[in-house]
Amino acid sequence: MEAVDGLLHGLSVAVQPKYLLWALAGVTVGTLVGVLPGIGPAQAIALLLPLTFTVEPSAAFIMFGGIYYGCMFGGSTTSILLRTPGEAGSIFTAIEGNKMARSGRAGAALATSAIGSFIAGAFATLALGIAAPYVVSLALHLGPADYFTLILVALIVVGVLLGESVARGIASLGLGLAFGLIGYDAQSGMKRFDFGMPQLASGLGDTVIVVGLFAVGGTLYYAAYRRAQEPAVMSRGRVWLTREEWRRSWPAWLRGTAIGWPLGAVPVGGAELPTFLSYSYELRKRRRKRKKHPVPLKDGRDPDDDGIIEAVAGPEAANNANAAGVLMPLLTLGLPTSATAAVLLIAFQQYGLRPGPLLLDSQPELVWGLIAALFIGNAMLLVLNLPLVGLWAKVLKLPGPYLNAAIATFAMLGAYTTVSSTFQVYTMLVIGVVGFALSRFGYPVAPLIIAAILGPIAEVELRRTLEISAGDPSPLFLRPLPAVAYSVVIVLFVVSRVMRYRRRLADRTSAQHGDAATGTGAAEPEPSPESGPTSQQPVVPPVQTESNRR
Amino acid sequence: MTLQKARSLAARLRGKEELVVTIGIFAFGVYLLAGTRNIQTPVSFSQIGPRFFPYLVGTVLTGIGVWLTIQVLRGKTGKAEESDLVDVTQRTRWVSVVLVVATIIIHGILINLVGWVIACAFLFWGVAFATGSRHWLRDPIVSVVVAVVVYIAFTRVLAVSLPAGILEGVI
Repeated sequence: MEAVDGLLHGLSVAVQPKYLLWALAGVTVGTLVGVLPGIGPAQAIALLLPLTFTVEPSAAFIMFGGIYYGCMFGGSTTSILLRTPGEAGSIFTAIEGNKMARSGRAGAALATSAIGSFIAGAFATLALGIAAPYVVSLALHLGPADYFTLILVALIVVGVLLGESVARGIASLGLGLAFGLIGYDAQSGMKRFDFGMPQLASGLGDTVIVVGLFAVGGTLYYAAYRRAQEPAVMSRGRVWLTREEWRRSWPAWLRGTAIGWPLGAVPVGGAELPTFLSYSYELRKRRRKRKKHPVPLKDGRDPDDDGIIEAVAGPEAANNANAAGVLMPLLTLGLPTSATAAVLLIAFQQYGLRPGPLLLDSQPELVWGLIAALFIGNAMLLVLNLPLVGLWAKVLKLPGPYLNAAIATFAMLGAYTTVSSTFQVYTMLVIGVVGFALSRFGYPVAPLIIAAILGPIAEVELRRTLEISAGDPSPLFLRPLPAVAYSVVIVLFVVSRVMRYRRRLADRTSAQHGDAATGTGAAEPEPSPESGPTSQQPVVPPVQTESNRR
Repeated sequence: MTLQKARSLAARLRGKEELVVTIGIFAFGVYLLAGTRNIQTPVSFSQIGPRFFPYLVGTVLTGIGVWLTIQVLRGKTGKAEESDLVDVTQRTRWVSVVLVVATIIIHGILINLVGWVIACAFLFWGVAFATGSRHWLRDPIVSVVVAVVVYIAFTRVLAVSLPAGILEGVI
């Protein structure tokens, strides 16, 4: 049992006092940053990348892992009390959880999301540890053509299938690939697109791209469009669950975990889909149940209008299980499928490490230590977020200008320290302006980041494939993995197009009959299984998502 | 006549500011295609060399630039990102944006001129001011405290090197 040995070995690493401290520091910083409105794990870890210059890898990854999980917990608090999800996975918590908060049940919403996150995190991290060795042994058989396929599929899914506008997703991908081209060609060593500036010879630097887009772009966006009035923070009450709430929550937690983990572990990425599936499933289940056992009105109101606890518990669990699942393709294949995973990949590269099937063999301490530390950190987070949630809620009162000033400070610190030169400060500023323009016109930013990181890898794999086959491109399509993968993508694309078309048709017909989404229809979300995760426009609160911005 | 023409053109372009982005994407694509010819190719490469990918990316960008430009001209513009913190229906506060940009440029100059601590304090204060903070006493104090704490944490605890500048020996 390689997995059991590995996990035990990892635990022996992670329980060393210094690593426990790094984990504690990570989950604390993660919760803190996650609570800050509009900041998600990708931005938090990106801003702390300078740590990789001096801290040893195990400690840094244990801390980053803690931040990753911590942000998830902290983000739920903000979503519930402020309705400002820091990343895509919290959107449905923000909808239902905030409804509960508005009706004075913030405590129950916070408790079900914290406990649900804990349970999902525990199961999903365990599943990661158990499955990783098997995936690695499979991954060892993959050739360059297979890797090229996986990268291409990941890019297509992130850029084309998940976004709202296909053209803007492709544009974002293209810009990312172009940014990745800058600097020496990895294989031939030829100079490419350095704009005549020797500082660009070694490339733009992934840190500069990520932090520039998220942090600088986000600050510019806030400067341009900040609201005169900061949003109201809900009061929270007692943070615990009644017997009835326990009974309703726990099946939803388990279902959420079961939906979230596999969708994170297969390299297609994105927390939108699993949380959406969980949310719509819980709502439908609730509705079916109410048909059998009608719920009495309370003070003339339908209690479900004030938030359905299952619909908070399920997506929260799905989100955290998904977050752990995303580590699977990252650690075993070196394939980041979310912005956060992309930033973690940058951190690996800073240490000269390349995540992939060989990492588990060459750095068992690091990988197993990280997985075990995630397990421990997850438990720490439950303690940090149940009794101490009041403390974090205070952070929400931090004024927006100070928050943005702090973000800019850390961004510039990161820019300067990459090569101890102010050149990067200006490069980051330019990229920030690009990020501002992209956000302003609805171009998703996550595809750009992932393309900038994966583009150079894809190019190497493509050229290797053609060298091995002496210029024959057929392995790119005809090997088993590419053949299956591309077929699946084509089917997915066709299905999503057909669904979108059918929905538009339905909208048009209902509009003609004059019963378009008005009144109750707009107030109560009616997710249908065939609408995509982005189809929730009327009910989704204005959000800043990880995939889009800081 | 020309004035009238210009005016009607301006009216037609209103709400289509996204053209700046779409044309920018197109131009970047053209730049890539043009620049690719200058990339030297080593003789030893029998298969695709360092030019293949740039050609591919350049083609994608020019193509998508044209497609998006047409979409925008036909009124299919992108939807600005929203959140509870920002309200995109209001006018762009260009003054604030320019102030943030200027603050960052001056920050870069100050690092080499007077050291990181002062540059950072200026950056924090400048961004807070540009984004609407107007506490004349509290803002500078917070800025200095943040700069000193971050400097000490990164140089002493984490051993990242940052230039002390004129405060050499003081901090």
